[in-house]
Amino acid sequence: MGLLEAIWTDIQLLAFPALFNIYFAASSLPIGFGLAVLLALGKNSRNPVVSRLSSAYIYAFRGSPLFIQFFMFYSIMLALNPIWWRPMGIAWFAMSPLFIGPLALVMNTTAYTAEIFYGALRTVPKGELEAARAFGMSRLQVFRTVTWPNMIRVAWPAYTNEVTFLFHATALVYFTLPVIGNQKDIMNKATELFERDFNVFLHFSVAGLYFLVITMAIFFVFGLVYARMMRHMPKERQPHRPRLRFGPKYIR
Amino acid sequence: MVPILELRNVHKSFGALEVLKGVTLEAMRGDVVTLIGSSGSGKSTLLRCINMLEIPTQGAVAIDGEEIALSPEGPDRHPLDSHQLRHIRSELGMVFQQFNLWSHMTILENVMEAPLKVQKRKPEEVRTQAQELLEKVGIGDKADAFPAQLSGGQQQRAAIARALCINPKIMLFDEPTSALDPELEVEVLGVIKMLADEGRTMILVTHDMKFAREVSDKVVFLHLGKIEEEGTVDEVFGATKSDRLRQFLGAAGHA
Repeated sequence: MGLLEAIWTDIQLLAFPALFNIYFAASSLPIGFGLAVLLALGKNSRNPVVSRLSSAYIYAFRGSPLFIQFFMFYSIMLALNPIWWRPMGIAWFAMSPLFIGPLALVMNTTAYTAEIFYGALRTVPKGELEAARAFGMSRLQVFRTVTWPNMIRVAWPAYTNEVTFLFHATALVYFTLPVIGNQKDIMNKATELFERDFNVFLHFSVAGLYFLVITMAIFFVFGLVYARMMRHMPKERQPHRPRLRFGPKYIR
Repeated sequence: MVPILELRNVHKSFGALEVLKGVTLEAMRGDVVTLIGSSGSGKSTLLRCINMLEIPTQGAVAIDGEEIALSPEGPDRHPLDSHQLRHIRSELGMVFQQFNLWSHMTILENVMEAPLKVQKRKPEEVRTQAQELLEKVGIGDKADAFPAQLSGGQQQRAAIARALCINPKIMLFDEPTSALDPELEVEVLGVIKMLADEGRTMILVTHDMKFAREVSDKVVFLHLGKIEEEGTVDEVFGATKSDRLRQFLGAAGHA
């Protein structure tokens, strides 16, 4: 079997597992995004109780390794299984890695994203907020008109980074949670293939390739959104429009 | 006749620092009142007390006979009725020193935002008025530009159009030309002069004595948080009574 064929076989074998990584990221990111907005506003709140609780949450989840958080969540869910999940008849759902995985990822990405949003929140121009208040806008209107668009624009590059980190972190899910049947993600499957022929280079390269390609797509989409957010900026501050193009220059 | 604006014994403290020490002031419909005074005299703070961007620690503010409801006097004083406050604010057009246009919205969107969102008016009607106002202040061709693409003078004129579009009972100007170089200042002052000539009610904080002479019906000189002298242009500039004001005008080069 030639090298190209071997690579092609691996690409095919890893296509289905890749869906699990995509599922873990796609299910946790939107929820984490929404919660992070609330948590960032909480940390920025003038109410000391709300602010401290939010800070404490963010600190706890940013301060400990995600790997450990996975173990913690799994142990907690396992301990609660005989007293809650089984009697309630939802053990099949609550104990599934397809639930616990996103749960841990949501808790984690919420903390990181909230910190990004909190930092961005503090850069919202005071004068623009004041103008909105002076025109009689309610707090919600001020948020929608001024706070949100400024905050999300400033936060976007850092948030893009968090999204890619989170996507890569999905490789940790099945290192900590039980693998059920053929529910295997890229890393799992690559390990399984490796254990058959000990070809580290081939299988993990193809696994890496999957992450590279999907990350590239993330950068592309997020870059398009960013270009749209920055359209009101002076030309010299605008980002280059992202391109999805493979264009090696053979002849110069 | 009910005064369109009434300030009664307004005090404002920031911690231990007392910026306003009891200011009482009235303006009738169509008046152009300019607040002058050196930096730190409290004139900007006084203007910001009118629409409660600063809450007076003591005293009362009434717009067109309606007093803004505030909690009992003290450092934590706050508006009691947010609905009333928003309604009153939506009738006061404010123009800031730093323009404070919403940077991510086009000029037209800036002008239309408050009429649509706060006053809930019809988009077609607001759009027509916004376009007219932009023409009026001389930037009709900039409707689809973003604030960062405009000069300071153009931005300030857009900010004036934004304030006008809510059909305000009173226009509040907080040093509208202080962030502009002299060339751009002229175009903004021209617009404000035009509004004064139309008979709009305006309260104007300015450092420009020449301009204050030109537009004012009433000039108020603030010193250390109190009204030191007030009157018509002729009274204040022509027959100055207080030494403080004479000194101030002398320093400003207009004695």
